[in-house]
Amino acid sequence: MSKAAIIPTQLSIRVPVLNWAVWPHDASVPEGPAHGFELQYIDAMTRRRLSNLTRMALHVAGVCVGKTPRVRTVFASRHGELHRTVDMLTSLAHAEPLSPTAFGLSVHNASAGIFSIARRDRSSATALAAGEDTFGYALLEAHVQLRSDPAAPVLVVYADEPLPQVYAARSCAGDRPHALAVLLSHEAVRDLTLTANRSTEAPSGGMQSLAFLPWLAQGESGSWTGHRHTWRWH
Amino acid sequence: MSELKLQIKQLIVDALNLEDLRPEDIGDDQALFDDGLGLDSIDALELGVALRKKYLLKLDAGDASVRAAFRCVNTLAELVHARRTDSERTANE
Repeated sequence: MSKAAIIPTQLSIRVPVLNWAVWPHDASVPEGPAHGFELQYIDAMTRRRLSNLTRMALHVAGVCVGKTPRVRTVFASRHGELHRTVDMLTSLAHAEPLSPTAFGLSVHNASAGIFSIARRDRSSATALAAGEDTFGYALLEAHVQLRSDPAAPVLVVYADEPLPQVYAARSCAGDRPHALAVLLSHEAVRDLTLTANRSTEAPSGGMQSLAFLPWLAQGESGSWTGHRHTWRWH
Repeated sequence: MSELKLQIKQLIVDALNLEDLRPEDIGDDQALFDDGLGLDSIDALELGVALRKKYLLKLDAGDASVRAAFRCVNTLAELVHARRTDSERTANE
């Protein structure tokens, strides 16, 4: 079977959106010192160990989920805790001992684990990365989970930050630290329609997750093309 | 020695990201773990890494005297004073 045959020619899903949250609140504000995180639901001893990426993710997750007692989660990030990984590789290269905190929290499911522990919620948690299409696939994963059990909401959390300097050649134009969360539930206040086709045009450039923000804020329809798929939403 | 103690307190605050704590808030004889400052086992490992990096100490986790030294700033200062191999010590001697 050829590789092309296993990619659906057209994907179209309808996603019920109950709530959402974005950090930073005002995308036009240039990146500055990380502040304004609401992380009181995480105990101080744990909080001090969190990376900026995890803080962003857990901030939007907490704001978006509000008082919903139990949620399944899909935590997604294209690059994950790459800054921690590079720091550790640098330590190894210098034959220095590794930070146990950095090691323990460098895994892709770090945010998902902390969120689950802090909320004492043992609902299923998924940690996902799918290259430049990560955000779209996170929505698809959450959609499938909601389909399998429509009664329980699913929270999608996406966070990324620019690549460490050593990978600058592979960085994405316009990238900046950002996080967004979308709560999927059949008690939704609005629906998102998301389609994906095999891409036939040149990649849009830029982060898929950032391209999606205008829909969250104003309901603006949009599209984003990567090397594999073109995604459209309204 | 009091300068070394302050250095160690600063190292504790920095290495463990104790955001709400100033170095001078930590007592020389205050227990670092459990009921004292409330640090945990990951902090102990993290602090061991930081001490080894800063003072080029050779620490063996199985060494009972090393474990005992992690009780408070006073005992850590004694350990560092006795075992440091970095250039600072050479310069002091």
